[in-house]
Amino acid sequence: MSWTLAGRNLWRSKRRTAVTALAVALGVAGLSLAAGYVFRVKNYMTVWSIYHNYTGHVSVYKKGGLESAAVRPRTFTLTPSDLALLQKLSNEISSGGNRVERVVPFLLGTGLAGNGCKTMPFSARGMPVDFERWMRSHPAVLQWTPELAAVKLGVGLGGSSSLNGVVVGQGLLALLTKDPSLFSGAKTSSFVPDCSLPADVEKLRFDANIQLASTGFEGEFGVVDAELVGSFSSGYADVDASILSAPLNLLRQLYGTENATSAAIYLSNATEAPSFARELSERAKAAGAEWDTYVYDDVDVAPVLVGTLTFLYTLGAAIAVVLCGLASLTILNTMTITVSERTREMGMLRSLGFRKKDLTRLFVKEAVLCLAGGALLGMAIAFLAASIINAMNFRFKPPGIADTMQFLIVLSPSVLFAIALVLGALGALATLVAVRGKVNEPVAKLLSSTGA
Amino acid sequence: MRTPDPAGAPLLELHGLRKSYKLGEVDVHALNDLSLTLRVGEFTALVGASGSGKSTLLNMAGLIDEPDEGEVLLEGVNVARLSDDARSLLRNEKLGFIFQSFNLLPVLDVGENVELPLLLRKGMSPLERRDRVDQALEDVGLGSLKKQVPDKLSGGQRQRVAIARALVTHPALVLADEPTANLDSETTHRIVDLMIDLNAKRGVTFLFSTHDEKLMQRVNRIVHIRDGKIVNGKVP
Repeated sequence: MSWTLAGRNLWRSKRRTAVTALAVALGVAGLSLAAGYVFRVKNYMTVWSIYHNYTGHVSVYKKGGLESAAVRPRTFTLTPSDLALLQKLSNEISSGGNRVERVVPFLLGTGLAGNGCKTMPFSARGMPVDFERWMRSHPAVLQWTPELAAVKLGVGLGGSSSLNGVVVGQGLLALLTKDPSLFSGAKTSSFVPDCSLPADVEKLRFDANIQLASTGFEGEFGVVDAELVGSFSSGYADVDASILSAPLNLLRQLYGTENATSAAIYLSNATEAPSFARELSERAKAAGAEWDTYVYDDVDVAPVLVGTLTFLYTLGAAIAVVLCGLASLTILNTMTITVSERTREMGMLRSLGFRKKDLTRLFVKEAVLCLAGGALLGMAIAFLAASIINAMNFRFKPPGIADTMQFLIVLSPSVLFAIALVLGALGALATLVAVRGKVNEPVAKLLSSTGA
Repeated sequence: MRTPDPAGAPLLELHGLRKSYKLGEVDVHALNDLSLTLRVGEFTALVGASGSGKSTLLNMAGLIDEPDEGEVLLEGVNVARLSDDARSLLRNEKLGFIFQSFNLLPVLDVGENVELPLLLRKGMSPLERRDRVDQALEDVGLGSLKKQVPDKLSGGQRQRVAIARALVTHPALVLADEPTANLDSETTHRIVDLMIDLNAKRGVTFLFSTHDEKLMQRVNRIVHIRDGKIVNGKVP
């Protein structure tokens, strides 16, 4: 009957209960919306890092390769036997379940891209052709980074019949003075331009062919011809000005190597990344391989992800502390008034044999019921607000980001549940503080009080 | 009312009780070496001027306050220094309280108010509780008002509900602090009749404070208290 008694006592002071529940509701709604935004950004950044920045859930480098592969590629890249062993170990760890979706080698390098008249630096990432198509259609990518999923112009690496087809960042496309319409049929055949003639320079805008040049792993100079088949957004404006995705074999040809700078392992469940990385490290060590293994949220491989999320979590925590504090103080205030009004009632219950903890539990139940009502109302407000905000498709351009981003609130049931639990606990604690003094008073003093 | 057996077992024994309170800067000696013995079946009135120590004595007997010195024996067991939880348990099992201002919970109906002390009896089933409540309400003549809320009852009816609540646990001793002070004379008469009836037929032992002279005429023992001491505890 104590829950019944608690509910009826709340109903007895309808206005006070409503005001308290509303305060809790606004706190819950505020927390939920803030958490929803952080949740959205966290997933956006994580998916961007894993899929669009190609770290995978677990990255494997030659020992010291993360720092030194760029300057000493011959020594600090993964050899074909490294890659074969990695595939073998990944299969072994994954046997019996579908933990590993893909093991993908990447070859990173820099060089110069030329359109015949102009030369621009590029930063290339070579990958298996079918990987890029798989990545762009992955459910996580489509869910969290739909703006980046599809190429902006043309087709992705696997969408063209050209063996030398490359996809460049939007910024690099512009720097190479290529016209976007060359991807929709306005292409001209390759020719040797006279760069002093404006007509030739104009014609170059519709020539999909470019030349890639660089120093190879052995120090030799390499050049390959490539065909522009598409343009994409990396998510970062600075990166877009130089990024280039190419078939792995094309870059291997350019750099004169069969090695890979790193390999990324894509798992079906991101939460398994740390345990997978640990197990892989142990097995690699046992097999005599000298590798460095990184989980996707390691600051060494994902400094942008880690930095952004650290800032967001700190800001979110500050907001949470303020809102939780306000909600707790509201409960404390309400229960203090309630207790002082029902002092004689407490004395009567004690005279009937109710112990101090029985009385405390009664008031805590009232607080919990009030909080539960407020929390439910708050979640309803949060859902309504999130629906309205998301439907408005409010877009903004964060600093350094190549494209606009939709301001989205993604409410997670588990986060909402956690908020309700935390507020429930704080409310119960506030009630204990409010009740403690009165409950510990002598019964005779409670009975002689003028309160209620 | 029942005539108690003077040789019967003592139900309540108060030995050498002392109790002081601070009223601002002044020490008030509410009980001053007070001793009293109450036997089973007694229908006893505590009489004295305001501030004589009646309420304090009832608080000691009801285990809702602790003496500074002295012993409180309930059915032969010294209960003065028990833990708070132990005293709460004893109050629920052995004692019943009737208050001057009824002290019913307005959010519960009559039946639920009477049921309150039984909620603490862990071994009691809901059916048993219901039966006890029904019996208690029948005893006080309010069987038909079980679903009524206290706000809709008269003063006399509310006090009957309080009496039913005090009796539902089948206590050894019922304590009442000025139970008829807020009632008109006709209602007072009916309430006193009820209490006497319960004492006579059910053997419930009553100890209550009163200023009502007509009530004093109907008890089998009057205890006069003055300045925290018993001055006359004889049977009239």
